[in-house]
Amino acid sequence: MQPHLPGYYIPLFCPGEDLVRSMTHVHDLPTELLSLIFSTIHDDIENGAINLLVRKSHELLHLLLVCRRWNDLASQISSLWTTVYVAHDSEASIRAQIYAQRAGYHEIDVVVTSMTEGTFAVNCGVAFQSLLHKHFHRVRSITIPFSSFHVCQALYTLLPNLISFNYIPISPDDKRLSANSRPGDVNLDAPKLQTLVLYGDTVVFDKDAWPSLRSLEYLCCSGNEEWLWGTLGASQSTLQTLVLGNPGTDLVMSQVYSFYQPARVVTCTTLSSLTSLQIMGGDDPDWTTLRFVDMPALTSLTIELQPSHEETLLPTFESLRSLRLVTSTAIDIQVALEYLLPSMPNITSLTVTDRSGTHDSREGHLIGPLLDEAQVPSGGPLLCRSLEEINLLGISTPTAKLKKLVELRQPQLRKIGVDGGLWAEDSWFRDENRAQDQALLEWLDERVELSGLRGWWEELPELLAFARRFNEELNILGG
Amino acid sequence: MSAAPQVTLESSDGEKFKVDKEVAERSVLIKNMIEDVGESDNPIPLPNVNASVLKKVLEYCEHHRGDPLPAADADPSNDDNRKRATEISDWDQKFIQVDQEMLFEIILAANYMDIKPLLDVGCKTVANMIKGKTPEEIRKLFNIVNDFTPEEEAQIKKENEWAEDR
Repeated sequence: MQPHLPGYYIPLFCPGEDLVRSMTHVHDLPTELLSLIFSTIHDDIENGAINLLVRKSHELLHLLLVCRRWNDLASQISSLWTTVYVAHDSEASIRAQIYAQRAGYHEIDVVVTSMTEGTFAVNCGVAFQSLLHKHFHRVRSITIPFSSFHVCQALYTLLPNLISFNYIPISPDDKRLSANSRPGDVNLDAPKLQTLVLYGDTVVFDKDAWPSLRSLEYLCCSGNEEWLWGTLGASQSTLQTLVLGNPGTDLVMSQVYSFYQPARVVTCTTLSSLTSLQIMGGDDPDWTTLRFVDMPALTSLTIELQPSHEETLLPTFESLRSLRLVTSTAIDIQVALEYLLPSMPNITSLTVTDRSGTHDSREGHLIGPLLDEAQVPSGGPLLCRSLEEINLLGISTPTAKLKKLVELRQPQLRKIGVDGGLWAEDSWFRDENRAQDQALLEWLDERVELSGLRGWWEELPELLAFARRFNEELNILGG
Repeated sequence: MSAAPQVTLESSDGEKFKVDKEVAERSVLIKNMIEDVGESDNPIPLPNVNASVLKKVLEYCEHHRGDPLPAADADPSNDDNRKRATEISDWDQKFIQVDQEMLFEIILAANYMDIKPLLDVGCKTVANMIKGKTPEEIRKLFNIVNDFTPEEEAQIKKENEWAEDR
């Protein structure tokens, strides 16, 4: 590099003035303020998704390339360089070391950016291994968007300060790869690990080495994970969040998931700190987890309803506040709710999502348990009396039933969501009944926060026109 | 009811501003000066801030007069503190919609007068102007001359730009 010139700028001339005056310029900001601005840019891009990490890296490179002053300054702000990228090109190892050195004494977050298998993966594996070998005590988190044997080999290292490990196959466009992608085995020796995200048939060793684990997300599990129960047993008092399965894709729904295996449940009988549990894409026919593992602090539960769950009785979850139910199969939601809700008396938020598209509830029977029609007139208790928010997603619910729901549950009930559901009856397709239903909606709108209706309302004329055309064509065909 | 106590501030170009003490004390610098000197009718000199900038700064202080002051020992590395610092309210966004010269003057004044929330708003605004722009766009925006040789630019890219999968 040549000797540095001081940062400078072209003075601006003010027309009509005799004096040539330079306006206050970005270079007039002292170093500490420019540092603050650079740090703000860096911090504003949240960690997490790989595309954001890539963006963060690009922003840094752009700062370096503006001018000498910015280059010098940005290079010296060690906190900007705490994310170390490991790529697959021949310079990957050198570059990773440069980043780690710039980070000074800060702990580093390592992101493997290579999603390539084959020869290039060797470069990546070498760079990763070299980085961990030299800076093992500074590694705070590791994100591996795709793994190979070469990358996983480097994990046979003690990482004493690692608190977060994300091992998720992600394609370059940030979509998760198919469940058939087989990540390599992981041998993670990290006694301070708090967050663990795994995907697919990953085989994990050192199951007892994570006594501080707080969050475990295990997607697409295959069923024979002895380490999983060992881990749960070892972190019974620390685990706060547990996610098993993946609600995001149909692909995962097809996975056979056997978390429930009773023989393994005995290794973990209490999860005393668990506040959030999500079990999706499962094939847990009798909800063994919920029935046999004591979770006294649980406040948020997301579960997928299966046909065998319809009449499953559960213990009471006094602390539970938020319940999300998802179904992708044709089950009797009404019966499932009748069995479930009495064991969750203090929930304030209920969301039922029907992805099966098989339920026809124009009679509104799905929300029957919430209306408690049989009990309320006789003075019986109202199920889940504290409900403040009810979301019926993809479930048809007539307006008259919604009105009854509001009448019964106010003032507690403040919000209703019906996104994706046909909330009208056949009457909507007849002009003479529409005004009445519209009045009902306005009545609801005045009393609770409604979501999901507006879009439907705006599309209504088009839907009605379609229905009329459809009926006409049917008549023609019939004729 | 007695009137709220007031203080007089004097800008670098000699203009005087009489403001409520509560408003002026949004500035830690002024607060400390009042505490050190005690109540006085003499104007408080601000030799690094001209009248147009001081007027703008006082507009900010007036709007935020009732806000809780940031804790002196707030840890900037704390995520919550940092997040709070990077959020800009609607009013602040409108307030800071000024030309570049005034923006930098406000940042310098906020730094000198030790008004941390205003400094954060200014820095965040400049950060937002930079984000997502190429080096050339940044240079053009701020009228910065590229003082690198082509060879130096290539070297920086080589050292920092990791290969991206496509």
